[in-house]
Amino acid sequence: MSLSASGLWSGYATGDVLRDVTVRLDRGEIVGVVGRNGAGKSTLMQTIIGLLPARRGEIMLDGTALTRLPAEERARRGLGYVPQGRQVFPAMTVQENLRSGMYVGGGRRKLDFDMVYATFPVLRERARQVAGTLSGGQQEMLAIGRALIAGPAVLLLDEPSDGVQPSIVQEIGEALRTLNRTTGLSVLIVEQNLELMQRVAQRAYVLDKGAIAATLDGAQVQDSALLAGYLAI
Amino acid sequence: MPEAVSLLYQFGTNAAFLLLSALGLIVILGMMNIINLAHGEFMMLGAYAATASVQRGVPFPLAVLIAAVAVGLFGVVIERLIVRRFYGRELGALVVTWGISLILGQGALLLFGPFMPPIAIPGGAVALGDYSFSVYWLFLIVLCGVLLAALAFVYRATRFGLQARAAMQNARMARALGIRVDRIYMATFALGAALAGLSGALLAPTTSIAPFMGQQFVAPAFITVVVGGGASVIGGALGSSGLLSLVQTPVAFLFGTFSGTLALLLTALVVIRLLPGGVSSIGRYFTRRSLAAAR
Repeated sequence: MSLSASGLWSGYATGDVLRDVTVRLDRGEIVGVVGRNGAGKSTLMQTIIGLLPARRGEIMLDGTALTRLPAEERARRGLGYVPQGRQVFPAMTVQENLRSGMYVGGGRRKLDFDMVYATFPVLRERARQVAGTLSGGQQEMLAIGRALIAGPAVLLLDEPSDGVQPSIVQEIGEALRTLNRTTGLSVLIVEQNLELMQRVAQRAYVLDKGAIAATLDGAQVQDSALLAGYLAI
Repeated sequence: MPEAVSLLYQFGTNAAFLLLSALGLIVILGMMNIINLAHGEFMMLGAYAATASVQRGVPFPLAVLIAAVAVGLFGVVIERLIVRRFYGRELGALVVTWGISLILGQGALLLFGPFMPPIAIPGGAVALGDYSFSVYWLFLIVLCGVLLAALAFVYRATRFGLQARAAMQNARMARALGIRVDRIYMATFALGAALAGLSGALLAPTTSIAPFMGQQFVAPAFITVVVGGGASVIGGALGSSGLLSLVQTPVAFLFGTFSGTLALLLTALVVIRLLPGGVSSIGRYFTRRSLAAAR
């Protein structure tokens, strides 16, 4: 599975946010996108999943163009999206939230509750609890589980550490690494938390003012001073 | 004893009338946040479809089903052509469905004239003491329970229900998970329209069938919906119709039908004043409290 966005332009009524952005994610990779607030990270994720239209450029998944498809069809072709702020369905139970991810990747596969519960045991304990009453960290795990349960080709993770307590951030990082190692899960992750980024990302793009300012290899991602420099500009 | 049964029967018929009037409206409002002002006319269409079928020799139960399906399909057409353009614009939807209601009412008047021949109430009556009870109304009371249970099942236990609730709570996120929200809305609107058609057909034998008959259902329907509130669509409908008829029935019994209707309106005012979230918000209040206590 490889996902690529090339020459992407996108934005809101007020103007372009992304300007000619090209990113690529190969099978089995965890790739980070770093950048300051307002650099266009979430815009990039929303454009890839299709909640924002691409004004120019192309998004491809395994040689299939997704650019003209609406979000629901992109999800069905294998994009598992975890938005910033989680956006679990607050009035539905944990179990129902997980089931709501049934169409990600086409919806033909059997839902893998065991995998999700093994990855995030707290979700099994809370299976019948209403999602709106979970803590931020638990909601984040639920949103990730919801995107994973039907077996996506690619996971799009937008700031999973946002409003989540440090111990759960660590747990999420471990879970991503384990899934990546055992199932070959590919992840594109947007993150400002350096620790989490360094824990999971094998390489990274630096986004600045809506354009790719640098591409970092594995060694550069581990260079805290360099990474902090890009975030602090 | 017969008096008590009679009162209970009155209570049941009042609640059933409110529920049947409101059912289609509740589904569309609760799941899509569209205030369908053509709801009464959808019920009228159901009554007309049933009457026209019965006149052609179709047995009444089958005529009711035909009416539900026909109005459901009509709902699909209206949704595809008009209503879907107004999702997310509640006021626009309000005005456009009002326009649809005017066209349907006037259209029925032009096509079928001011009156349709009535349908006889099916079933006879059973007597208890000096009182007699309509078998048909007893059937409607039971049917209301069945319909509510069926709706609860659809929304709690089916794939469609899960998707509809996801779309209701966060349509954008639902789409990002591969849920075809557009189709879910179409199906929901069709379901609401079919329920309105069903109710219109079921109530047709109990009322006079005319182009503007829908209006008699609209006020009770809206009152039931507002008093029910949005926290739980089905629970709200049940609680609201029960509470309203609990007040309406004894007042009507003692002081006459007009006073009963007045009491119903006053109850609605008081409930909305005290519980802006409607009857169903009581449940939510208790859930919150027990959750807070558990922490």
